[in-house]
Amino acid sequence: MEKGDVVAATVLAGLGIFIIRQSIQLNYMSEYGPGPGFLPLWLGVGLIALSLPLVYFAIRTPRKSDLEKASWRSRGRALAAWLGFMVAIVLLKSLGFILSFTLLTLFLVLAMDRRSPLTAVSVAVGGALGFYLIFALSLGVSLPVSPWGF
Amino acid sequence: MKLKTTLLAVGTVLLWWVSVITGSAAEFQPTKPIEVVVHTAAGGGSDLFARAIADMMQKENIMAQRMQVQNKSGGSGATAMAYLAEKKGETHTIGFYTSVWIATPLTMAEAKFMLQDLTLIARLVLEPSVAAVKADSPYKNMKDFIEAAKKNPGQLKQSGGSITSSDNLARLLIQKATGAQWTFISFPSGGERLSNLLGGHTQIMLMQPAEAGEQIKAGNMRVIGAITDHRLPLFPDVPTLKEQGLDIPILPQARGAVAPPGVSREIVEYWEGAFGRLVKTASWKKYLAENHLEDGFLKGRELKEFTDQYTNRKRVILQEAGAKVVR
Amino acid sequence: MEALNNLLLGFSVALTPGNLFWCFIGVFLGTVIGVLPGLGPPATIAMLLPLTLKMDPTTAIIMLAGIYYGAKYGGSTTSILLNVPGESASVVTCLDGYQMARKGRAGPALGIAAISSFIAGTIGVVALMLISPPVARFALRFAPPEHFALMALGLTMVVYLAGKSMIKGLLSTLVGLWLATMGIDLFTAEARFTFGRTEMLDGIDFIVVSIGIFAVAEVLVNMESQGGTELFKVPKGLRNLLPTLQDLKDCRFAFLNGSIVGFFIGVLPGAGSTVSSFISYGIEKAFSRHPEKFGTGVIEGVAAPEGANNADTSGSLVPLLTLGIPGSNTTAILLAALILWGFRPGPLLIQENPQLFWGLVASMYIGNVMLLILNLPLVPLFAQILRLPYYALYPAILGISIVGVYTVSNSIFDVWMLGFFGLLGYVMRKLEFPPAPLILGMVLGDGMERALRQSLMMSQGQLSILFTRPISAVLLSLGLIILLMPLVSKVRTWRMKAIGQEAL
Repeated sequence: MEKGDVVAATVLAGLGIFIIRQSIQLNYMSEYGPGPGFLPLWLGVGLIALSLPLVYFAIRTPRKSDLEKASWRSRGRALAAWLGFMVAIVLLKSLGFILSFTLLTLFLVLAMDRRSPLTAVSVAVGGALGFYLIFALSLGVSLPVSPWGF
Repeated sequence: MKLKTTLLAVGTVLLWWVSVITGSAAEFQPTKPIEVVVHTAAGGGSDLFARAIADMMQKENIMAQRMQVQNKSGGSGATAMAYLAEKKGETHTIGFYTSVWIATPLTMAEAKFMLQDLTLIARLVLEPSVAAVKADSPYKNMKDFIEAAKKNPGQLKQSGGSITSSDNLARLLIQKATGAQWTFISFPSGGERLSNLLGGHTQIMLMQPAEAGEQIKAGNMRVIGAITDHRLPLFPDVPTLKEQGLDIPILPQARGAVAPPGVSREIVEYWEGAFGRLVKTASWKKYLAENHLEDGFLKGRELKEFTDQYTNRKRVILQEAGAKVVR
Repeated sequence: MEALNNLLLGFSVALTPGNLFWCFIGVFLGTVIGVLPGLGPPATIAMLLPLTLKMDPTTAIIMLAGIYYGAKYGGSTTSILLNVPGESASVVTCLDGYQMARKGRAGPALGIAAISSFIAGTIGVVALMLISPPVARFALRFAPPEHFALMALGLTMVVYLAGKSMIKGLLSTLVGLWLATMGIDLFTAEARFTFGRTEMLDGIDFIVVSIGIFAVAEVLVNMESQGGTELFKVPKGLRNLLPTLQDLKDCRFAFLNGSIVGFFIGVLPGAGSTVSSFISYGIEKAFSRHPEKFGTGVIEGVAAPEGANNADTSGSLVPLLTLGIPGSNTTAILLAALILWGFRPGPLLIQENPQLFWGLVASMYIGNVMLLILNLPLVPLFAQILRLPYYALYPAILGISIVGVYTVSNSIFDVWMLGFFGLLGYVMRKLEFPPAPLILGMVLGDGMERALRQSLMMSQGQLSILFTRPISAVLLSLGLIILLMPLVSKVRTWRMKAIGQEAL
């Protein structure tokens, strides 16, 4: 069976239940027609209704070729990259955009792609400089700044 | 000879020193660009208002530093107010508020700050509104419209903003006073409200005189009532609601300036002075005339009284209208 | 004949050195901000307003309009090369444009985007010039029921965006519709799904979701494997960097489709250019001989939406100039600008100021030509971006995404949302849930629900209003037909198979 789809269907059904619970607290009907709770309620119902056939088909479909091991490794890499991205976002407030971006680039090039430190640093610095010149200086776009002013 | 010179020198130095001390203690001067927070996106009413003022401040040499507009749109003012509230004590930030900043916290629990939580500086303008109908409609004055609404309850429709907006509140007050009943349809943008009126899908709309003026000149619309205390110079023949027998509380749309909480007295005085000078200039008068606004300069205690009174009256009106009031 | 005389007057105004210069500045600036995600025409025009006070108003509006339609040219660049929508209307271009780039056809994609923008833009200006008043009057007949029908029609496009699994497509759409409900309800001022946060009061910004789901997710997917140095093959030689004659032939219908759909939807106040690009894409796919290829890199899939979002700008100028009604954010600022310069926008604007209107119209012809000349040679240049090693490109894409999102409302919360939707987009890709229906749901959900409730307010609760009004009835029937068309073709295929088997 297609495990991924079953998980997705379960999550979506759960979302549907959540949405229905929230919508009940809103007015279903107002003066002349649907109130704010109307559409979300039916969206929730729709989500639950459609996750059922999804589960059904997922159970019925034979699994594709066995790439389990390899695919978990690759998914791990993607998740690591995502975590790096999120850390960069956390650092935006304290370090500012330029520095966070530099760190993110270093992480992606060095840790994820295993390039040489020289490559990593040159890409990171080059990129950060590019962003600084184009966005901060020429366009005057306001970006989060570090305590050191850039 | 030497003694005299020395005394003179010392005296001058003392004088200079004293003036510097007292001067710097009593006077605030901006040393970097001022951040001006507005609650609309670029191009919205408050945004353009702020840019116009920034421009006039430069032109009339009232301020040496630039004013930079910071758009913090969202939540009908809640985001802008939250942003200002978080900038406690910040000396180079101000915001331009509208009546929405007073109304929003009353009905929205997520809006965590009220206008009174910020430092009031001055009220600058009042924006009256008028009731307008399509030119070929049978309503020549408010009475006609109300009669028609009474005959066909719920059939007539008004284009307006959200149900807590002043257009709807005015409608609810008139309905209560006269027993007439007509439907209110919310449209998020002024363009849609107008196009629905001109297309004949709705019958009445409350709008600013400036907007109405152009459509009237083109012969598309007619103003049947002025929602103000006195007749408007743009429409001298249009009677006010009161003159037409509708004695309802009028809460005009007001615009003014605020600063973050916790700023010093000097800063408030600086701004009161700057705006005080601005409203006397020719550019300002021209701006008011072109945009059909009324001068509403108010500061200090009177401003606080106005704001509190407005808040309380709005709260009462909202409650009467059946809206959910959370503060 | 009168139009021709007026047009000559217009050209005499537009062809002065000053106006030509500022027209160029406008379209150039527009292209630049179109290329950069996040920065859009409304903010730029608002920022330049004080500058324009010192200029002649006709010159000023020539420049500002140049920024407006120029941005639509630039928006496709990052969509095609990096899967980063440069502008909300360019989201649809990502679908096939980026796939074309992956196949090594970035050049033709960029080229056809420019060419289609030019053709549709010009047709739009012609329409603006000739049929503005009657079209504007027709547009006034659009009330909430018609808006609902139009949005519903747009939603049926999901049928064409779903790809393999209709169930997953529908689920995506539902999630998109749910995202659209977040925020304060316009009618009752109640907050929906805001999780108690002030930042959520206005809902989630569409550009945050689209950049997250398209650009960031794409990077994450590619991060799965350590790859080679070059991102995609960039074919050498000018011939491979521009659309071929065959390409141009294939796009004949798309050019027309984009122009008409874009212009008419642009005229309607409140319907954005994203809607017109989606509908144009859907129509293109519906009438295509190879609909199943859409989404894999079909050139018409780039030509149609790109044309639509350009014709849309001309369309949105119609209500502004003929009635003084702004139909979109940008036209609202242009309206304010006109008032600032002392004009009185309204039905009398064209009559009282012919040199303004006709000067503008003539300058738009010239501007479109300038943009074509500007953009086409830039195609090989931009395509070279793809030569960058991918380990340099991916961080750059992430950086651009952050900047693009942050410039929308200077909110770190939005950047957090970007990260979240990036992950969501990645998960959706892995689980084969199509992203386009989610985006479509989000774009339309708001407007559709609002239009339905407004309609019911108008009719006092009678749903029949949607069917008794002629225009909305027509649009809804069209929607029904579009929904049923795949079924019809399936039946036809089934019947052909049956006949074929009988014959054996």
